[in-house]
Amino acid sequence: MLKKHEHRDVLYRQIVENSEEGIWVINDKSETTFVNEKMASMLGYSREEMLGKDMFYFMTQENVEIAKNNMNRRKTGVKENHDFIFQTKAGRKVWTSIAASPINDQNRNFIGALGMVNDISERRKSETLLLAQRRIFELLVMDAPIESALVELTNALEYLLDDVKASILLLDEDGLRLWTGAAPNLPKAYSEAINGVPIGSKTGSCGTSAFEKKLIIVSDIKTDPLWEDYKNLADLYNLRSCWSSPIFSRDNKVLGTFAVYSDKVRSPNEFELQLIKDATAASALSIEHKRAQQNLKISRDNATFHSEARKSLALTLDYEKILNDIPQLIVSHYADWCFLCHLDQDGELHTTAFASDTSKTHLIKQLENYRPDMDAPEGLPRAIRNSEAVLYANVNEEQLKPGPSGWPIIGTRNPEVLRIMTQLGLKSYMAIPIIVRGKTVGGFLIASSSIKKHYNQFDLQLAVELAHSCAIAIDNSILYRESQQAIAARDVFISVASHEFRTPLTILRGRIDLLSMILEKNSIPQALSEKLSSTLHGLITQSERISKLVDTLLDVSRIGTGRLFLNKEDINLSELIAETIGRMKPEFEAKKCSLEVNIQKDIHGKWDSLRIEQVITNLLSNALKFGQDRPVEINVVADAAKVYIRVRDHGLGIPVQDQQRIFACFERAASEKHYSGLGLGLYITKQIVVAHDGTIQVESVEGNGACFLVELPLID
Amino acid sequence: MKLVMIVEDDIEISKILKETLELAAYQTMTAANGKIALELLTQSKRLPDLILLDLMMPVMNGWEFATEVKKNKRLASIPILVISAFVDKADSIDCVGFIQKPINLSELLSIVKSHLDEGVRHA
Repeated sequence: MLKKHEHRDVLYRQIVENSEEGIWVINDKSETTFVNEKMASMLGYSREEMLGKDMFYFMTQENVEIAKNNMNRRKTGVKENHDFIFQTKAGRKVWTSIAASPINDQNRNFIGALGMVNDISERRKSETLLLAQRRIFELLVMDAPIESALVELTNALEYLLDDVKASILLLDEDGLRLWTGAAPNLPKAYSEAINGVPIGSKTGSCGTSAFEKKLIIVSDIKTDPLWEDYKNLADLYNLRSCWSSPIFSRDNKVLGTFAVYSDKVRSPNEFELQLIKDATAASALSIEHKRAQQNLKISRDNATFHSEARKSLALTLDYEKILNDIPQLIVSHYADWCFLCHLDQDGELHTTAFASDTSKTHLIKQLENYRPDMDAPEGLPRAIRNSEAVLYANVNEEQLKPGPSGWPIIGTRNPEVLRIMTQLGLKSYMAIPIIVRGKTVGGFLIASSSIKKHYNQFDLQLAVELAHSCAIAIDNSILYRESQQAIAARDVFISVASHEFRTPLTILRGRIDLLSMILEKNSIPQALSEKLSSTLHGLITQSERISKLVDTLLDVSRIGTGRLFLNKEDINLSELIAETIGRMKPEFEAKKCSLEVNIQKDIHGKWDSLRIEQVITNLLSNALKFGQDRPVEINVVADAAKVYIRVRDHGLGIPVQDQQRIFACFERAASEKHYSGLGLGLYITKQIVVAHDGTIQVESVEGNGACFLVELPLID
Repeated sequence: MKLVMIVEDDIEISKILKETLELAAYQTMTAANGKIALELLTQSKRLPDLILLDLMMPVMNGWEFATEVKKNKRLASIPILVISAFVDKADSIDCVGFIQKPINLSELLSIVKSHLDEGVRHA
């Protein structure tokens, strides 16, 4: 049977032994007099190893002072909670939270201290990482470079782990090489030496990790075969172990590696592994965020560029100018040089235009007569053959030599071109076909020789869109050129034809006039004379009609070639119009069509009288022709600034959709099957009015007549 | 009888002009281009009272002919009446007037008449 106090001792012992808290008792000399199992294991020792040892033995030097101060406070009776960092047997940090209290004897003399210790490393780790992430987020929001954001992560990791240096390497877009992202505390020379290291199965911890897509733990660099090629380099900087984890994007692509170096031969513990895993995940988020930001910027820049390019393409219909401008535009945005080639009728490619960065002009000039070989399996010939853009994201020097197929990766095997391409340092390029109305007419070659500029899908997309805009512009310019040629040909034809008509007309008219004169001079029986006179009159009328048609055609030719000159003089417009109407009266009477005339008196101004007469005649003839014999009105008034001439009929009218068209050359609203004419009257009328700085417009409701309004300025 | 010279390469037009003028009791002489006309003028004892001149002609055109005539002291005073489809092209020629093709013959006759009568007055 145990005594009552012995029974209590057992109970207390069990409580202490089984506590989830570490319990640590020291004497007044700071020597360990008691630790429970939990406390010992927290520091990686056995209870026996800890007993009798000075408390300061379990911490790094920088914390000893703090601990001494704490101890002094215990001596004065202070009981408190505080955080403290101990060091494990293996030399690692343990963050703890301690409830510390002094132990006094019955006489209240200080005889030691009791610490109830909790391991808060996990919490501290999360806090540190969280803080780093918040800082990274702030940096990225401020558009800081990815490097400075990633340094936050390596710093956080270095803070949490003892004696290690962290580094983040980034994999380039083509997934071949690793570049320093952040390694603020690794020796600079070492970082520089491994910058651009290729990934592979035996390329140190990082290169292998990125290649194998798994965590690589090398605890001794000197002996590990993965470091075979790099161990001497590592040794120079006293790097003995390296653990590297691949950084994955959300779609499981390797973005880079997160590595931890130590100057000791060692492996990570569970805590360290977890930390690396967490830091890797945070890196992934940062890198992806930054890349997304960059891509957004690129696509925004591209959109801006494309819209500007489209604008400048739309500025001109000049084919040659478009072809010359485009390569320059492309070079200014994202290329070191650019060639524009076209396919000739024999299916051969020729360089039409090119542009380059000024530093490359001397080399590019030598390629002026560069002709891609349509037999080449790659490059522009391939893009043109398949009518599909091709991206060559990475071009190395080897690929610029004729390979096993006998062809290099560009569209020629001309040794001179290959030599220049090598000299230019071609790193990446795109071949883009230009497709006009479903037909491939040529293509662009857009090239970069910068190690930093490897083209990607975004770049390709932009180039394709640009080629599309270019194709539209080329198509427009071709159509425009063709239409201009057609118009020029028409004008030449009209000019020649109308002049050719004039000679026989002159002769015809001359013969008719001569005949009338002969008739007048000779006495002929009256009956015969009347018959001949009426026939002659008919001949004269018809020859005049032909003359008028020829004059109209001549006017069109004059307008088309900018030769409609006005002979302006001071005239009384009211009288001129009245006389013109007088000359047309018989035509109205013949059709029994009434003409209501309202002319303000004595409107004076400077106009070309013959041309104004033509305007009035044309408008009245139209009213008579399309007025269905219903009354026609002409109204002429003036105010201080303008003359307003209105000619109104009550006939067919003009559909709204035709009201602008009728003023164009060879256009007419009425059916050709019912109404003859060339469709030139209103065209010439408008040109004359415009030449007088006036305007002409029409108001009409179909089936309800039309009213033409001519406004002429009074002041010249 | 007044003498009118017709310089016109189109035979048909030349013929009509000749017949018309003769019908109105004028004497005529014709030439198919400027060169022939110039030769005729230098050889002929009697100078015409008026020259009807076409512009577009082979060998020597109307412009060249008019320039030569105006350079020649003996010929310079003969009035020239231009007949052309292009009224605007006659601007540069030192002439007393022009008649547009197609020609209205009665109009032609009245213009010719007015110039010759004027010539008489001045003579």
